[in-house]
Order: sequence, then structure tokens, then C-alpha cells
Amino acid sequence: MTSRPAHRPGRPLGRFSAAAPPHARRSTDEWLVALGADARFVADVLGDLAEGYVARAATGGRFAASCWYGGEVVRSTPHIVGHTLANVARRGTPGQRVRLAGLIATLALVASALVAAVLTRDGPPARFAVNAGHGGGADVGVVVNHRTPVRIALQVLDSAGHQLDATGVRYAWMSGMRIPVSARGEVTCTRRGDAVVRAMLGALAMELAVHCEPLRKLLGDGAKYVLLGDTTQLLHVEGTALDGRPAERLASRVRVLDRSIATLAGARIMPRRAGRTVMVVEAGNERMTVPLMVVERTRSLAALAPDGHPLALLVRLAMGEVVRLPVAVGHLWIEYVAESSTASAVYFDTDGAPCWAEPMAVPGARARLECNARASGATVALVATEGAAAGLLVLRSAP
Amino acid sequence: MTSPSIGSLELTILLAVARLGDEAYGVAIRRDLAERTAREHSIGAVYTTLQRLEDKGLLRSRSSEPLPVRGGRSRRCFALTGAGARALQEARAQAASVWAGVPPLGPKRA
Repeated sequence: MTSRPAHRPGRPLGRFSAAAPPHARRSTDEWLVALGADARFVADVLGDLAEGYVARAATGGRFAASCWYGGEVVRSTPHIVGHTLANVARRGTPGQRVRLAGLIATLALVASALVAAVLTRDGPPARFAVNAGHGGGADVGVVVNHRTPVRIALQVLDSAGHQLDATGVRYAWMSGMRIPVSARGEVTCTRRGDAVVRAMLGALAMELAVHCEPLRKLLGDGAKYVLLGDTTQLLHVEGTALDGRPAERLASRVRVLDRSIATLAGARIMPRRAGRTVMVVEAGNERMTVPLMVVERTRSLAALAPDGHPLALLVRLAMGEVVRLPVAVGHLWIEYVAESSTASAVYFDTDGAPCWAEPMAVPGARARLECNARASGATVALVATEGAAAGLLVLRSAP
Repeated sequence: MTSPSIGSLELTILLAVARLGDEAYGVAIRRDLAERTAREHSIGAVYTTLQRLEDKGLLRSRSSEPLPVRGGRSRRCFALTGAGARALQEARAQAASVWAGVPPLGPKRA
């Protein structure tokens, strides 16, 4: 004898009727139960929703029934969530707790992303700002050091400071020195002088000063030697204008090629580790490289190891004073770099090692010495010949 | 023995279950509440309260056979327990006591 298996509550009884609600799928029950909802509670709520849908579809049509169904789902969701949380807290399995925590974390992530998207969305244009490479800011206007046409390229910001697309900004010459200004902001400076240019984007408008100072040449200090830990050293850059006079305004960009050796804070050199790199200075059409050597401080010229980092000794000598220092074995370069504030001169004297000296041409310049000490005991003497001497004695292995 | 304290919606639902007798299940209870209070309570709110009353021992429930109209799910029919009946009696007595001595309410005559 065969008997029909008893139907278990919560299992579907074949297909739904034609008026069955569109959203009432069995997977909804299983999904909620898997998250930790009480199976009987879920079946009661979804059963009532299905029954209500069928009754309303019969009297008011499927559209009205679907609207009611959706509204009831929304109204019941907080209760289902609350009931599920309480059920998991009281009777949940570890798996249910993990799944629910995962769902809550996902929802929190989505909510955070939505909030972040709302907070970071761009607003309407609120103000113009001058690009960093064009000078000091809106109060001083734009400095143009180019000899060739160059775009002003103002930034457009919203009220929150977000940068917006600036391709729609239009420019026109207003007053001052006559310079060609294209609608897209290309200006051409052929001589020194100031002009006023108007920038417009919709209702937003600003008048800014354009300081023309086309450059012929960039000038610098030459190679910079900076002691590790010394943050007082500044990079000095000057320019010569087309008319031959020193440039009064420079809109320069400076970068250090190897930022692991040093960085720049404005014009201040911030050494990070011993080594050699190059600072690249650009202004207008001109480009200049400044070698930068960050050196470790030492107390002895004998401390240099083969292929080691450059070392530096601080030197303070009264006029006529002599200091004699033992040098390490090997092929060395020794260089005296006078402090920029002093106009001292030094003279090298050597003993026990073949050395080739390159004397100072003028006080305050550099004096170089190349030595090849084959045995220990060699010394180098340094004599202040014109007034007191103050500077760095830089020691490095010859390449 | 004192009955567990019950709130306003709990009392209303207990009364609906008492009125509906064997027909006291979710849809019928919600319909009864809507007719008597002129408020549409959500299905979730009604079942949360029914569950709470069952946990307090004031209601008991049984499942019907699965029904196609419910997508193959059973109806859960509720009935008052002895404690539930006592709670209703106490609520009625308390209401009568609270209302005792209150004169007929209405606009005052000059």
C-alpha cells in the first residue's frame, strides 16, 4: 500500500494560483531563515502577504494588489529586521550570526559609500583659483615667465573646494599693457609689464592681474651640499628677464628627482638620507638642474669607507689657522664648500699622498683636492688664507 | 497571581483574538483591528505583538493545513490561554475602576 507523504508546513504546494503575488517566492523564506529569522514568523508574515494579495487582486486588480503588497513589505521590514536580530541574538547558530554580521557590514558599507558619494559630489562653480605654477595666488594674479604663448589655466572650484572642469572658462583682455589674450586663455608676453584679464564661466567672473616677465635665463647657486639633519638650507633661484635686468617675479616649479634623498618645503631643502640627486627648476621656457648632495656628518677624514656615502666635516678656522687631518686610504675627492655668508679662502697642503689641488679662484668659491693615498698616515692640511674660514669639508670616494 | 503587564496594542489584539474565536489568524485579526480602531497595522507589527503575547503565555497557537492561497503556507490560528483570559478580565476591571466616578464628558453648559 502506498500513501501520499504528509505535506510539511513551509513547503510549496505545487504551483501558485494565477493571482499569486509576483514577489512571494519560496526563496524569500529560505533567504530570511538563512539569515536567522524565525521560520514560523517568516511563514506567517509572507503567508498573510500572499493571502492579502490574492484578495485584493480579485477585487481591485493586480496593479492595486501589487501596490498594497509593496507598501506592506516596506512597512513590515523594520519588524522583520528587529525580530530577526532578536531571534539571532537568542537562538541563532554561529553560521547565522556570521551571515547576519556580513549582511549588516555590507549594508553599512553601501550606506557609507552612498553618504561619501553625496558628500563628495561636485556642486556648481563657485570661484576661480590660480594654479600653483602661476605664482602666489589670486591676490597677486598670474605671473607669466614664458616667451611663447601660454595658457593661464585657472582652476574652477565649487563651494566645497572640489575642482571642476575648466574647459568652459573664457578670457578677455581688459586693461593695462596690451597683450594678446585668446578666448581659451592663451596669453603672449613679449616684454615686462602688467595687464588685467577677465575670466568668465557662466555667471562666475573674475578679473586677474597678469604679470608679464618673460625670462631669458635661470640662475642658481650651483651644486648644493646639505648635511643630513640640517633643514636650514634654501634653494636660491634667480632669473634674468628678456631686457637683461633681474626678473622680479618668478613662477617656478621645482622638483627633486629622487625624493628618497630629499624633498622640498617651498624653497627649503629637507634632507632624508645621504646620497646624490638633482633638483629640476622650471620657469617659463627655461629649465635648470641643480645637483644636490646630502652628506652625513663626520669628525674625521679617515672615516670614509670605500664606496661609502659622502661625509662632511664642519670647518671653522681663524685667519692663518691650520688644521691637519689624516685621510683614509684610497682614491678620494675632498672639497671645501664655504658658507654662503662668508667670503673665506682656504689652501690645501698634503703630506704622504699624491694629491692634485684645484685652488679657489675667488674667496667663497669651492676648493677641490683629489688624493690617492696608498698607505695610511697621509694627511691633508687646510689653511685659512683670507680671513676666517667657515664651511663644509666634503669627502667622497672618487668615481 | 498577577498577569503580565500588557500594552495598548497587546490588549487590542487579545480582544480581537477573543472575539474571532477559531478564526483568529493574522489576516482576520488585522481586519478586525482596522474595523475597530480605524488604523491599518502592518503585518509585521501584528505578528511581532502576537509572538510577544505567546511568549508571555497569554496566547497559544496551532498551524492549519498548508493553503494554496497563502503560497503553500499554513495559517497560524491563535487562541486565548487561561492566563490570557485572566489578563483580559483584569484589564476590564482596571478600566472600570479607572473610569469609575468620571461624570459624563461633553461640552460644559453655561
